[in-house]
Amino acid sequence: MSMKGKRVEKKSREKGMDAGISWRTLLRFYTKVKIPWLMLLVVFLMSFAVKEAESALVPYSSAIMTGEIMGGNFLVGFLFMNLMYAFVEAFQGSFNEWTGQVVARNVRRSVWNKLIRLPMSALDKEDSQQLVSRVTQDTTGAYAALAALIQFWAVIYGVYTNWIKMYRVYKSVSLVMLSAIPLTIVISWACGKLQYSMERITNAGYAAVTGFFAERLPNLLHIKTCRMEDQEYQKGVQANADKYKADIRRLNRFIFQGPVGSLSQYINEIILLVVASAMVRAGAMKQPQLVNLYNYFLLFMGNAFMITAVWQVLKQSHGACATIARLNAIEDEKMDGPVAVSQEAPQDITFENVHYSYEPGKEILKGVNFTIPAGKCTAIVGENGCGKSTVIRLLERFADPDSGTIRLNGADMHTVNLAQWRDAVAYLYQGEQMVQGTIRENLLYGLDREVSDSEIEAAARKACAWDFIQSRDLGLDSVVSRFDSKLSGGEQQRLAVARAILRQPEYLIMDEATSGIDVVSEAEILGNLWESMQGKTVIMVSHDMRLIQKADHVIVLKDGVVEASGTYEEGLAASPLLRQLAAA
Amino acid sequence: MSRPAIAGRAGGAAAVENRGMWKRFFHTCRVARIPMLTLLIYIVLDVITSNLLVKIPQVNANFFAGDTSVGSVAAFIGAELASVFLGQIMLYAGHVFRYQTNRNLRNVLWEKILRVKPSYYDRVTPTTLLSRITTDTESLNAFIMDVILGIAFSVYMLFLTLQEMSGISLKASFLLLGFVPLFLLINFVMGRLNLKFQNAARFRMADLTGYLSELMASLPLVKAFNRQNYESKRGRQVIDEYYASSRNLVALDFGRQMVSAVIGILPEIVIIIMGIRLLQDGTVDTAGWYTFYLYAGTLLTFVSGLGGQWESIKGIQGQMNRISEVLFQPEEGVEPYVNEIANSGDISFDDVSFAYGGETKALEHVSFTIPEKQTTALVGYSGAGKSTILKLLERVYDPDSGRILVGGTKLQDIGLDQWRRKIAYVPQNAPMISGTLRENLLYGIRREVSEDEIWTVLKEVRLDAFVRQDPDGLDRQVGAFGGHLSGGQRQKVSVARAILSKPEILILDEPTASLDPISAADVADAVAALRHTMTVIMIAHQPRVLRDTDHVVVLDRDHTATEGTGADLLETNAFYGELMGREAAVL
Repeated sequence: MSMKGKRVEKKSREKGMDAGISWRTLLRFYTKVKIPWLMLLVVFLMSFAVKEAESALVPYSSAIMTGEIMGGNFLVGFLFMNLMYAFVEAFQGSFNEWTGQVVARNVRRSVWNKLIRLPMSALDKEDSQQLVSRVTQDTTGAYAALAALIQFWAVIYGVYTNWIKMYRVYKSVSLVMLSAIPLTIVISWACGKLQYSMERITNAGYAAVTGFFAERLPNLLHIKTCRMEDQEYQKGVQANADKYKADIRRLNRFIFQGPVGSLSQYINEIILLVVASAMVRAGAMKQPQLVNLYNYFLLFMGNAFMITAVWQVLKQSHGACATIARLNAIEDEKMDGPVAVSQEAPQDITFENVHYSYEPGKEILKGVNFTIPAGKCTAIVGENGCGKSTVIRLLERFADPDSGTIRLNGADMHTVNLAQWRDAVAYLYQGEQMVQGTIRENLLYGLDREVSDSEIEAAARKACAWDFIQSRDLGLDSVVSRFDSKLSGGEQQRLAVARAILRQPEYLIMDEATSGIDVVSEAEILGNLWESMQGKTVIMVSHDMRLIQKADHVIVLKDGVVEASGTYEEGLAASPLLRQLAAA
Repeated sequence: MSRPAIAGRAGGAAAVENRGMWKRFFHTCRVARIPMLTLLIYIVLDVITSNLLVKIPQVNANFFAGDTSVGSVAAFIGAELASVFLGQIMLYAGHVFRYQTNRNLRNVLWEKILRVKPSYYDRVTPTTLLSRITTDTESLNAFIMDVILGIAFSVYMLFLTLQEMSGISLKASFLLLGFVPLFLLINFVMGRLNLKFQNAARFRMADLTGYLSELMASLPLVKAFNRQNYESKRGRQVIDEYYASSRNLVALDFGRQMVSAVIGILPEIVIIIMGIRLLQDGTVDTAGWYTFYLYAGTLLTFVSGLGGQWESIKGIQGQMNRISEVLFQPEEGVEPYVNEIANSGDISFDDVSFAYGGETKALEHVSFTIPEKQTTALVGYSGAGKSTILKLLERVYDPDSGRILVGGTKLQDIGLDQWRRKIAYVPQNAPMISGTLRENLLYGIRREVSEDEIWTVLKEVRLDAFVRQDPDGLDRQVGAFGGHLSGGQRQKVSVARAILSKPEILILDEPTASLDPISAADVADAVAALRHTMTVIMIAHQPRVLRDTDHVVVLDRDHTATEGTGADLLETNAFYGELMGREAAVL
């Protein structure tokens, strides 16, 4: 538990960095993605067409407002322009959407490919479920930035073209209207800040309820058996009241956002209408011109508002892409290496002065030295949190030592071909070990040779798994997954054992691998497993002293260092901890 | 490996339980403590605002048609500002109502969740319950505001608008009204189509997410088995399939938008043709025409709004169903019982059978005795029904058949609260809640406990040294779920709490299962020290723990039970024999 806790802390520390990622990293990321430039060009041109079509509708709207609808051409023109506009807009929208899908697909391919090849040490720092949203959600953000960039120019054009039309109607008032642009930008910026503070309040409100209930709901039975329902109800009421207070605080800001945001529009609209109507009264302008002016003004303002909106989108998608860009900049796990793993005979593994820490200042391994002899069964023993599982992680090369060396038959583990090493090893864990697929596919996972059904059956029988496989309707072809509630922890462990037997590895690493299996079956399964591992190297982590007694070699870890190593008897003589464990 | 079924789920997940919606809605409303005063204020505000807003088109039309007098300009600007102001006030009142509704419903739901029969917790995951409290609760306010009031005020606004329109031209108004069913139909069809496309896109995304998240969780395995290339290809295939279906959706949606645009222009044409007639025969002037046009626009907006509200029901419905599902759950402790005071004495299971959900057999005709003030161990194969026995004792479930007797009285005849008061329960996962160590040690203990007593018990479970070395001592924070403590320490706190609660019956579910041998020995010693002071029932497998028991019940694979003393069973029961003498069986 404590180890996992540490990893989580490390994670959250690093998460904050993403917002501050450099534009260069971001640009480098875009150079690595295939972008459909021609499609983007079409989207770009169509965006301008939409603005033109929008503006071309104004005379018709004005005609309706002033009742100039009697002319024979009006209805035809109105119908044609509206359909034209609808077509241009729908076409631009759909084409934009399609382009976005193409970009997202390309980014997804490259992000997925990257994720799967990242070193485990980099993956540990991320929440695996959040990584999924990196692939599914953030990748849409990658296009949003490009689309916003295009939209930006279209919006500028929209401001320009509608302003020019205002200018043609009435020069001096349109010059005054230009002031709306900086005013709008400043106000929108201020509103952005307001928005940010509102989001913070919203998040704090949700955190209040979520934090409370997330801890209570898994503990409901505990609450009930301790008969604390009434007290916990009162606390829940308090949490809900806190959320309500946060909601109201947010509302008190939200209510001003709309009116304040539109302030520049109101000010300029009042100026425009007062001045223009005075002109009409004085006979210097005709009524239809006023209406036109007003309609162009609305489009002009609409586009001016979009300038900052587009900027917001650009910033958001920067945030969304920041994480993928950062992940993209991490180097792939290096799978090759000059030193080959011998297929003939297992080789000794030695740890030389190995240090490792999950977070700075808290070393879990403080310079360990030991040998895992080839062709024998080695048990790693110690109390919870002594670093046993860390040793396993280092062996799997899911992490690298902070200092010191791990050697395989004398060669630095770093120089060993990782693909060959992983092919030579089978791992058995305590937890979920299934991938989505059928039982057969899971048993053969990672095997490149042809395996007959009878061989599969034999392995499954050795793992005491054949009976429950048979009890499923589709037998070996039943689909299982790690979240499969019908597959108990013990059954997953049995399937993993069967898979290890089929794999015929040179090295077998077991971390509390049979904890979910009842003792009688466990004895049978382990007997079969070890028989198939005769002459191979077995490395085992367990609390079960009776298993440890059977090992050829014992390594006792205490407080991050090796207290003793040797045969079980030698260990007993040298290690107070092992004596204590044996007596317990 | 199996090809990801991208298309498979969409249909099934879309199907939402439709029947009894109104019944569920009214039931939820009845118990949800809806803030009626706020609701009333909102309705009054809405009525006032609607009556003011309906006048605005006349002001606007007057101005655009050529009345550029100072009064007309002022009225135009004033009307616009007033509508913004009123809109904001409505918004405020509406949101206050929404937030109060959320808060009240969350309280109601939380109370309910605390009172339901605990067997319910086996059926739903805590994550599900969490989203019910935090997000699903917001469906009620949406249902009231967006659906019920939304429709009511659309209709009201429609009525007001028609009233104003009929002042301009009664004939044209009725003519337009005649078109309303047609518009409604068009809106409905196009809305359905749009929703269908949106859902299709959403379900495809959900499939992609589901598939990738599972692979992602398996990444260590993928790496350990050196299958990066293979999984990279598999993932790419899913991504490409998702793209292909999204692209087709975009093409289809383009078609939908075009049809929608063509149909959407029809009402406008109808209104303009009407306007031309009205202007030609002099029924209206320019201002009258534009007023009519604006009213017609309002009318159409509300008509299409009506369609939209029916669509939003669909989304809300699923959430409402999940809420009312909880609210309809039976509560525990409400059945009448015969004996207020619980008897003491041996507990006996008499021919008890139980199956989860009536299907998964857990116990079949099981009979055994748990002697009073003795320590009884439950052992057996995984899935043989050990945990079920504990749950029946805790009265999380009732037996399907047979009886559980306590000192000769049926367990069901004893008051639930009285019975639970006698019991302390130490589950396998050692649950803790944020707060201090002291709060967790005394969680649910209603008597005064002295400092000395706490330290005595801490010493019994060998936690005193650990607590003493911390400067905060008993007031140290344990973190969320007790995360600042190790598994062994949490288990010791759990046992200490049970001892402090001075139960008559102590139930332990594999108290040493995931502990290292030293912590396990500490816990086992503490439990052994309680022997003969209370009735102890525990699931255990370690020979060391089993040695210190008076009575053993072995659950067999066929869900039957054998009982006896440890010494007897060593001779007669193969499973127990192997368990105790396991050394010989390994290797």
